[in-house]
Amino acid sequence: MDALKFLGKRLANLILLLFVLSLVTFGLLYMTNSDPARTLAGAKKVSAEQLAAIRAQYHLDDPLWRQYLRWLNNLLHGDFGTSIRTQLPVAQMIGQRAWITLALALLALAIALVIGLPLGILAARRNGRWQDRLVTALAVAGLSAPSFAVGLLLLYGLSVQLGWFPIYGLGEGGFLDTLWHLLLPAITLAIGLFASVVKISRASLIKQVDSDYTLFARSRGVARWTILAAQLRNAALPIITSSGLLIATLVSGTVIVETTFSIGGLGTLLQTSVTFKDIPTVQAITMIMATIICVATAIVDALAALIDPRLRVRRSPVAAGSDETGSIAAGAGNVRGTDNDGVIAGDDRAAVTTVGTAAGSNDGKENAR
Amino acid sequence: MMARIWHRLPLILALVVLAAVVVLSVVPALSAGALDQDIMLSTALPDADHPLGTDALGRDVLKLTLAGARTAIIGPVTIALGAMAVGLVFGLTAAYVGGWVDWIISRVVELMLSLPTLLLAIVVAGVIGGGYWTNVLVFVILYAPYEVRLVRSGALAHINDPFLDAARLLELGPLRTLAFHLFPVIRPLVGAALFLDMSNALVSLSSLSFLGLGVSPQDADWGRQLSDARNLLFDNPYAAIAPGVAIIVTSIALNIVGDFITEQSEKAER
Amino acid sequence: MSDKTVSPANAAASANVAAHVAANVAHAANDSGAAASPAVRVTGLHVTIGGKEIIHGVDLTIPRDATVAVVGESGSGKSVTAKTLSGLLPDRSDASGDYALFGEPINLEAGERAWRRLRGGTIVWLPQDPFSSLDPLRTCGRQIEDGLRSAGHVGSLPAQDVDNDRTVAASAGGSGNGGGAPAANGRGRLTKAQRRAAVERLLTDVGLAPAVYDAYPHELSGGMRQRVAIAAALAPDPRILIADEPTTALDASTQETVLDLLESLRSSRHMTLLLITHDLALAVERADHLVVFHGGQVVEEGGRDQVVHHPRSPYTRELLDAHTRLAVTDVPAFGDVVMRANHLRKTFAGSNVPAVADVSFDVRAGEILGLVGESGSGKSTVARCIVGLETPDSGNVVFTGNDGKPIGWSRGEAQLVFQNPYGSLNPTMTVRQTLTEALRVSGKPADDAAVRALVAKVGLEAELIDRKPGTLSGGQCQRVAIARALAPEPKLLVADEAVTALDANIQTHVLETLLELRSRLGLAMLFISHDLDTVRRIADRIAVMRHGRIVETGTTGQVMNHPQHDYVRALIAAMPPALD
Repeated sequence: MDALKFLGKRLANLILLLFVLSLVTFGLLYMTNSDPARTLAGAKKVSAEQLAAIRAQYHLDDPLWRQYLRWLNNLLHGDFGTSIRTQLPVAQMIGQRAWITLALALLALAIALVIGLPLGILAARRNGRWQDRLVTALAVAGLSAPSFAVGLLLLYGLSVQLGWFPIYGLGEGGFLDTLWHLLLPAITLAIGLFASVVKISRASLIKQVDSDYTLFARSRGVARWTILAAQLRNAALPIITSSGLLIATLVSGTVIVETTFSIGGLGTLLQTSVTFKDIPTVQAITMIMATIICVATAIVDALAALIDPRLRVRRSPVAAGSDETGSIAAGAGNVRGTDNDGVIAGDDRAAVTTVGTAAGSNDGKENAR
Repeated sequence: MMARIWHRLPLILALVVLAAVVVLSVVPALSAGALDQDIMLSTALPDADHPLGTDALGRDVLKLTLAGARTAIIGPVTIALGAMAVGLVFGLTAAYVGGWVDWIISRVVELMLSLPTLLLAIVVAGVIGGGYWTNVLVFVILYAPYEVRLVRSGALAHINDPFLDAARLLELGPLRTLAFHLFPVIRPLVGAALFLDMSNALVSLSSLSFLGLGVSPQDADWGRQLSDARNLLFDNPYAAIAPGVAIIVTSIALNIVGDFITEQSEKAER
Repeated sequence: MSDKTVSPANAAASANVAAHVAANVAHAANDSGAAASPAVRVTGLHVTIGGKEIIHGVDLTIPRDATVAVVGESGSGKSVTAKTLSGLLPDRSDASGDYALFGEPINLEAGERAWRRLRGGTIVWLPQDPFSSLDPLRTCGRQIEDGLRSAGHVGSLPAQDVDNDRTVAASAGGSGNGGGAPAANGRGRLTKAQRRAAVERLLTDVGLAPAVYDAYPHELSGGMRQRVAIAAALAPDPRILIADEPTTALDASTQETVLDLLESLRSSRHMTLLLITHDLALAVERADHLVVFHGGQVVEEGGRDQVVHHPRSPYTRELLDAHTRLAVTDVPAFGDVVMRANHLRKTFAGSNVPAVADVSFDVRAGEILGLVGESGSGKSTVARCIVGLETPDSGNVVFTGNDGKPIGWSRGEAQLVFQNPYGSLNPTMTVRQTLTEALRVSGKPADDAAVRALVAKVGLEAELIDRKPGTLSGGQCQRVAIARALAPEPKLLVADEAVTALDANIQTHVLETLLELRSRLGLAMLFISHDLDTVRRIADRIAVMRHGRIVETGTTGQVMNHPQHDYVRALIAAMPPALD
């Protein structure tokens, strides 16, 4: 498959995915167990006239598809509506808080990568020894421990008992103080990520260390650093591809960690809004977070495609290459693999056989047929 | 012998923990009176009657934590089994039938796998507001595509094995082939996945409880307890430590057992 | 030996060994008459992997400047020995014994640093599978270059003159192109252009275009990749090349050319080629000297002619016998036609070439029809059409019913025995469960006695009856698979590459079992194989398939002695000689 086709397919997938997400998000309004107009009225008592007014304001009597299109159109123009709970424009509320969540997420990502990658590499290179066992045990613990439980325990141990970190909130001070307040939440958020990073990087590097090409390179006396570089490059592909999952964990995790540490970011806003059934706010944050997750995942996939020559478009320097692809395709026609006929290996029977005459066939191709 | 036990110590401890959690959840007598409130005793530190103190409503933290084992095991087991049932039906069908059936199942699964699971669970379960069992159902649906993918790829690894052709040559029916030939081959895979899913489901479910979206405030639930205990860290830290440790230990135990099964089946493959 | 042994703590000394080794070789090449020490001498080699001893005291002498085949079935220890010689054993393994390369003692327990000095310049191990032996993310040229740099590295050590010596030796050897090593500049790193030129020369040597330098492995066919791997192996200019099953992963027709290439490179570069293979016929055809492994020990070692004509060990004799026609004592009179295939055609979706294009033949009761063809010739598709696993696009398969009327396939008409003995049995079921199920669904008695009778019929030991396939050998699994196929008492047994995956001596036993079943049950048999040598051992009649068509049919004698079609003549010519 060539890269343009791959990217095109990926883009189509992304659009389909966002479409489905927008349907679910739009549907939230109808998932509550009461009349949408009443939901949109919020907690206050409303008269029948007021309900009718709300109905008109939100076009609730239109057919659903028209409501959906209007909602989507507003969304695409940055109009997220008005919060039921605060009566403020949702966009404004999000704007005030988004940077906190972003900072928290980036800080956590940095911590997870800076600690996780080297440990994963170490564990892979010390496969089976005590260093590996220790790192793997840490990863299992980190992967299975829920962040809110770990967060509260850290909060109690490090902040309440030892007083090393501030306890709640974001502090009053400037940038550094805020960062200081964000550190413990970021560490908490990073624990699950760190475990994933370790697990993925360890597994993919072990595969490379055990690979045939590593053994072959060693047998040729190739320098250690050359081999390690090749292993890391190969291991990077699955790591990059699976980092889409990390982004999803990261974004969803902010909701929980922010609640744990009472940080006023998008996560707590989502949590409060869900509890309050402040649907427009919930819809807006859901769409924003989901879009970030999906787009980031798609970008990461595209990056992996750029690194992998097997997905890159280029004209093969070897003419026989294309011929070969043809015969592979022919073999693959038998997709659900019926028999041992139609083997992948090509037919280079006519290939030049002796060293003595090799120079004679220097016409740029190994003749495949 | 000692060396073997030492080597398997984590597994043994994990099994002990899980056994305890299961016993606690099926024998209600063990946690009787957990929900009794004593407003006079709000947020008390440990004493002889209450080894771990009480929470804001004056409930005994130890009893409440033991009682929380129930929601910690029943929901995750339901989620794992429910999602796996869906996974087996669609995964085996996709792998065995192939063609456009496989194509459609795979596309739907692929799409669902790209959805941010926890985020959607928070939003959907929260907005529906149906409580614990609604949350369980939401997670069954959200976990199912993972199982379909697992079962499908596990089955596909064997779908071209001649022993399935041999079954066709004996004119065994497709159901018999699936049940007696294809399923047993992927059984270890399914077993390991069940435990790992339970671990994940425990974390997911209690996350919702922690956000105040799961069980009702009066119920015993570790996530709920933690949520309430956030404000009690100074007054009775055990109200947070007990359920926190309980969740972490149970979840790790499930993971260890799942990893053990994976390891064993990989060994058997070789 | 300790004073002369390379220790990991003394890397400089080991580097000198490498240099000395190279020097020895160079001189040996100049005056080959000298009483030079052998390329490899191993005595009392024991190898333990993960606490289990794999090699039990192996003595081995590999002459220099020769092709030596190490033959043995899988698990015999031949590959482990090959890896031991280049220090490539996995972690948690342990090797002991005396080991010398060109007379210089080597410490088998040396660390990676010491081994690295030896590898490349002295010894290189070439892995089996060209689809995994190259890094998929780098161009072929760059990977070949990796080896060059370390050759330059050795050259930069004190004994640099050695390298120049070696060049002389190589040219004197008459290869005509001075080898691929950067010998002209032994003093330092090569320039980029020099490296590229050296790689392109190597590519030319292995019969590839220089443009392959910029190709990624996935852009090449298996045969081309193996050539790239060979070029990479030659880049450091090794004196010993260990090729571990170098053609097993390749197509039949590609195998020949790669082996030819290895042989010509070996002689032009005065290397010692250690050919590790499971295939005795290939070994006999290609090697001057043979070493036969069995159960972690060397059971036979010697010159080719001696091993072929005067084998000392019974195991070797059994392997050699595997290539002679079986003594067919009682061929029954052939009965009526059991199955007739009429004008079968099958084209798989997505392919524009038909897998099967117009194939017709019949098989009579008691007759063994051999169907020969390369992989891709469509023979397996024919087999699958016969038993209804595949539906032909046109044409049909007709069986003769009990009343003589034509009928379609059912389990009582024909059964298939598959190639992969492990894959053809459900790994979770015991032999008893597998056979009981087969008997029961066929409406036969399925009690203990019936299962035991079935097991006895295929010559399987009765005590294996409650085992699962994982604990059985390939041959035992295949017998179970044959027993299962016999359970519905079919009139025709189709054996699709049924012995291909088995070791040579086991093949003979299974073939004998098939012959016996034929004479005892009057079974008709369609015996399918890519290997004419195997087919002629058992078949009464042979049909040769190519590109989806049968190009020649006749009795085994006719086809073997008077082939009509050029392709069949080529097949017969390519058969291993000297063994019959």
